[in-house]
Amino acid sequence: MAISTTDRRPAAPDRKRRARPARRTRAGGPGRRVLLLLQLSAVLAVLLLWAALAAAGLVSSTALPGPTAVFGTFPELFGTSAYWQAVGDTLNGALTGFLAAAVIGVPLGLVTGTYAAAEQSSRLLVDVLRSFPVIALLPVFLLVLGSTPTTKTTVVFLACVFPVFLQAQYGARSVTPMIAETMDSYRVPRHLRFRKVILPSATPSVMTGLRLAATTSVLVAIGVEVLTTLPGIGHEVVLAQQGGAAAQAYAYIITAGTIGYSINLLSQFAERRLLRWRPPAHTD
Amino acid sequence: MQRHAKTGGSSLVVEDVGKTFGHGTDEHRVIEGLSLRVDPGEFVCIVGPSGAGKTTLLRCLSGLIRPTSGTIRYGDEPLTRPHADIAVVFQDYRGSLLPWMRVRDNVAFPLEGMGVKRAERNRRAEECLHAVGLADVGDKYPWQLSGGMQQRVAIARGLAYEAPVLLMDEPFGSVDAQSRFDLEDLTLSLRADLGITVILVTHDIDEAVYLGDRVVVIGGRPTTVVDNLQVDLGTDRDQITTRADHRFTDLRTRLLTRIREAQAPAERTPARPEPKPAPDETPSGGTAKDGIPKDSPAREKTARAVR
Repeated sequence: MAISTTDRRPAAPDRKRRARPARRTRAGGPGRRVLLLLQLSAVLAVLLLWAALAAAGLVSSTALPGPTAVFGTFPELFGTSAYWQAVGDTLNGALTGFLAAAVIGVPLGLVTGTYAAAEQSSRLLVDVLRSFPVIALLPVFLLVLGSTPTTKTTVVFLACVFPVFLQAQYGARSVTPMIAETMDSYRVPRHLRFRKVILPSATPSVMTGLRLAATTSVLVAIGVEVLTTLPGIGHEVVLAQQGGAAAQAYAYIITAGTIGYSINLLSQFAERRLLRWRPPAHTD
Repeated sequence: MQRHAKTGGSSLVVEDVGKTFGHGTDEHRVIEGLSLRVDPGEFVCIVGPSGAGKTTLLRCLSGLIRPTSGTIRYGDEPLTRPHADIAVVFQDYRGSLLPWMRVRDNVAFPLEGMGVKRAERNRRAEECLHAVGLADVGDKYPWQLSGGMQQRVAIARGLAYEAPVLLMDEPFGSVDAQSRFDLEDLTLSLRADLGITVILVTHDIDEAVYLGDRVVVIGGRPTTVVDNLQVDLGTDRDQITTRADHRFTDLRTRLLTRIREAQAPAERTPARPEPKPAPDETPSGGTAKDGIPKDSPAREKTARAVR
């Protein structure tokens, strides 16, 4: 489970993704429509393999029902309030924890990143804190906070706050010496510099942190639900599995995957809107 | 162009300035005992070999760094930090423009820090963009412009600041030859129109002679002033005729000789360890290792070929 994905080395802002279509067409590769077709057929191929595996009976149908059986449960599930309740519970815990991490991690990261002394003095503490495996601390939280939604939110927060904080810090440090010196020579005051130089300079990196955290938040929320009795998608998976409703368990897993994928799409869209100033290829 | 600042400003006086980087055994004396005076309205070119501490000197003149010894005065006041009367145009136009701001906002940004109202800021920015021949690119982002145009934007930003003194650090080092000539002439005409003081640092002797009223040669280890040459070519200069003028070639010969003399002693005594170049003196921009200027079409071609 990707719970301690907080790498010290911050991930580079994802630049290639946007550049890809343009470069492909220029290099004479497949066009946009063809590309989409190819990607969809790759998905279809995996679904077919899954169906073949299930039909061949290599794995028992209680462990791996076929795709038709799994997708067949969706119409029924969509009609139940339990399904939507579970989705809501998971999203609620993930979103609250994620927002708290963003609200605390981003400003703290930007400020400590701006001042070298703050960054250096907080480094040891941050490195120690983020090394604790959050899930392993779950029993402690259960003991202190009880089996409550607050526990879920807290664990999500802890898993998200470090990537967000570190990416923001890294972003604030990304102001080049050249720009810093230019701003010095034109005597740009500190508040203006923070708002119009450090902030935009840090945005690509901050967005990467938020995107990592958004995906992590759902993963961790579901993880907590699987390990505890807290309601949500994870809990429904466990219940369905224990009740022998394998198809339903897989339907919930696919739901979780869809949520994660949607979050990724959304954050990409937000990133594109915020970073319109960047050159399309953004190389050299 | 209408200007609010007093033209020319005050004299910039450098007295016995030294600059040392590092401590103990790592100590590296870049500049020593350097004195220099630039009067209001003068165009002074400071020329010296790579690694001579040109950029270090310019950073001292801009108030970005403080000399280790000696004093720099602007008018009556000691210059210890960036001054409102001094604008700087750096060599690396790509690095000094803010990529997330449109060209107009880049030019107007220093004014925002001075509390100038938005309408006035934009008006001044447009005016300065017009003055550098970029009347219609205000809405573009820097990356949408060529290297020469970006450097014009950086010059426009310096003009919009309305400082009577303009410091330029190898401002045309990273643009192609044709843009370079255009930018040189642009700088001359701006100076003629506005009566500003210009101090331009370059390693290009021809450029120094072509632009300056006076050329100051710096060199030696550590660096000091080795020659101070009045350029008697008048104010009307032309890329073709001025450069062909025998007075131009005479000045050029004298400067080259002086620079060679200044370099010679260091080369004759290899026993003395070669001091490491100061961090700010690493040759950036200009010509890359393979000898092709960074922005030349040839470089793009080779880069593409490599890819």
